[in-house]
Amino acid sequence: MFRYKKKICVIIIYTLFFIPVVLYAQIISSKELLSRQEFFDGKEITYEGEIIGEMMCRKGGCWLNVKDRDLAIGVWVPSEIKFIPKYTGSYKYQGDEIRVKGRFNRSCKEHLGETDIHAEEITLIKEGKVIPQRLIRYKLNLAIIIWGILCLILILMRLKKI
Amino acid sequence: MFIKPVTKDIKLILHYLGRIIVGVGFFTFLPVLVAVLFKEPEPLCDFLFTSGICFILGFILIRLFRIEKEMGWMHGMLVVCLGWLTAMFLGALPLYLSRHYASYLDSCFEAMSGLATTGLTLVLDLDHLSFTHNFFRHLLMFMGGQGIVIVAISFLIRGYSGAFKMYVGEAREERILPSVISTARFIWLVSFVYLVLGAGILSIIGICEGMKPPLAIFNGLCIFMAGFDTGGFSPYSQNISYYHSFLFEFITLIIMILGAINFKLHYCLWSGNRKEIMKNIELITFVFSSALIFIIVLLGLTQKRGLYPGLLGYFRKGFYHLLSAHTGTGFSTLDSSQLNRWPTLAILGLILAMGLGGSSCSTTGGIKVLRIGIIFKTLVEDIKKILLPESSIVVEKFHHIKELILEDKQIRSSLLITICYILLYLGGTLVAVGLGYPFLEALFESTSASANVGLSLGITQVGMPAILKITYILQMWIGRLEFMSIFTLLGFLVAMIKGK
Repeated sequence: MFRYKKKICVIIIYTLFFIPVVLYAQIISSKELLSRQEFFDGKEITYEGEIIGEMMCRKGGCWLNVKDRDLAIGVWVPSEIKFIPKYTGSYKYQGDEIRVKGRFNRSCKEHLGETDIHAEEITLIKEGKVIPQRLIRYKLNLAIIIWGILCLILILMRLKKI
Repeated sequence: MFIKPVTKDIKLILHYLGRIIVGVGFFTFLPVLVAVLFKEPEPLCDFLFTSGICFILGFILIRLFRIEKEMGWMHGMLVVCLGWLTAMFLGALPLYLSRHYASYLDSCFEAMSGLATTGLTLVLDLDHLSFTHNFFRHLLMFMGGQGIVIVAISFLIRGYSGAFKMYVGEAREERILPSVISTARFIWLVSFVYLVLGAGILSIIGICEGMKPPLAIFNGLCIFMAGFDTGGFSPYSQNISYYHSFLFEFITLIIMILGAINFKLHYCLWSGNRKEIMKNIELITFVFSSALIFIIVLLGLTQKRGLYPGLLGYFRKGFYHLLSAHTGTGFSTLDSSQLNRWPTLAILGLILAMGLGGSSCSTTGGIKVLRIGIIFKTLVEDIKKILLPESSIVVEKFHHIKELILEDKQIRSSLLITICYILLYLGGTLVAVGLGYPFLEALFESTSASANVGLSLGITQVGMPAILKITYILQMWIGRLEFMSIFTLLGFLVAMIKGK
């Protein structure tokens, strides 16, 4: 009986120590984080995604909004972590893709109930790029034709032909 | 018996429709300036094309169909009704051309959601949408919130006697100033003054919170337009939670409340009549209903232990979403999947808040607190009648800008519209439940669409069935116009077929 108890204790201790490590090792998606937020709350996780919008720096750190395939989550980057993104996602830029290791908070006490990740380590996995702005020829032609017709109508209206 | 409409009726309707389309044209031309400012050539072409189409169509209708008779109530209602549909189809054009919508139906959904100041969205990859298209989404809310007809009346229908009939058709029964044109201009004045102040304050907060000045100004402008017009769109997919700022949320809260207040009350405040705040039936009902529903939401939220840290956490999430629902804005600091995890009681509280709506003659949707106040007063009157001797005469009064006696006409109209709204909420729920969605989520989404709120529990997404998208478009349209003009359209169609 004592042997079994010892085995159970060993399993529990291993589970307690290794679950956070396992979570740290595997990448959790935003959808999974939010759908199982009670489970992940306060745990160390790894999250990957594209930085969108812009980096907003305040007292004690900066906010980054990081989006994976589904949703975006706020990542709090404390001042101790020196990370400045080169590109942040917008119409003209594909933002840097980063891997964030940190603590997930379902309702962060430090940030008045926000759902966020407090980064402990940030790794750049793919640098963003400029999305080339091109003028689509058929759209330009259509716009010119339409405004040409409009000018014609306005002239005819002025001449009281229609 | 219906009287069959004659050609003159149709000509008159099409003529005014043309004027409204020209008004829409001016609005679709404004983003061209944003495209130039942000150096976005492709969106520039999209908006040049759309505004050109609007002007051509508008001018042709104005020129081809001349006014040959005086505008009646039927014409006014029909112009509004068709004007909103046409604005949706035209407003959807540049959105579809952006390639951020899976289909033209989705862009129509977005355009109607913007115009009706709902805020439900089907945009794909919003975070990479151009500044120009994003600005246009918010401008749609500004245009729809003021009222498409207000736009036309203010600038294009000067001196026409039919202006008031169209003004009423757009769910605004009250005139603030003696003439409709001066009323329309006052609404614009209020909106512009608040726009400068609100967008300015939001921009300053944005800069203080670490945003670059051009982006802070852009975001301030967009969020103000969506907040004051109780729309709920945001330039980013995270909505208001993108900003991670309590102060920003607090200012949006004030903007939402300002947007939900009757323009007539704004006029009273502007003209120095501050006592009106303490007496106005709408404001009193709004404060009471907010307090009551907040208790319901709070009771619901506390069912889940430790959902938010401290009272400030509950205020930030609970009160914010309650007011966002009650004012019909739809700003959110939670993702739909997070909102869906709220306890049922809290969700029911939000549904109730959405269903009630804000003030009449404001930019909100829903039943409206004035009607709720009148129904409550009727109940009080009836109870008094039972308690007092039969010979006594009970006269119930209420204060709305001036002292008014509760009349049967007001009671009937309030009850009728309330019943229509409840049926609309249930109708959409029935369709969604029929398509396999859970009842609570279906009721939430249907109420959100009909009351032009925009909060979502996750049903509204690109993959939802087309029939549900069409249902929500119709609900947003009917809910915004408050039934009468829609009933007129139905009557007109019947008269076309069966009329003599």
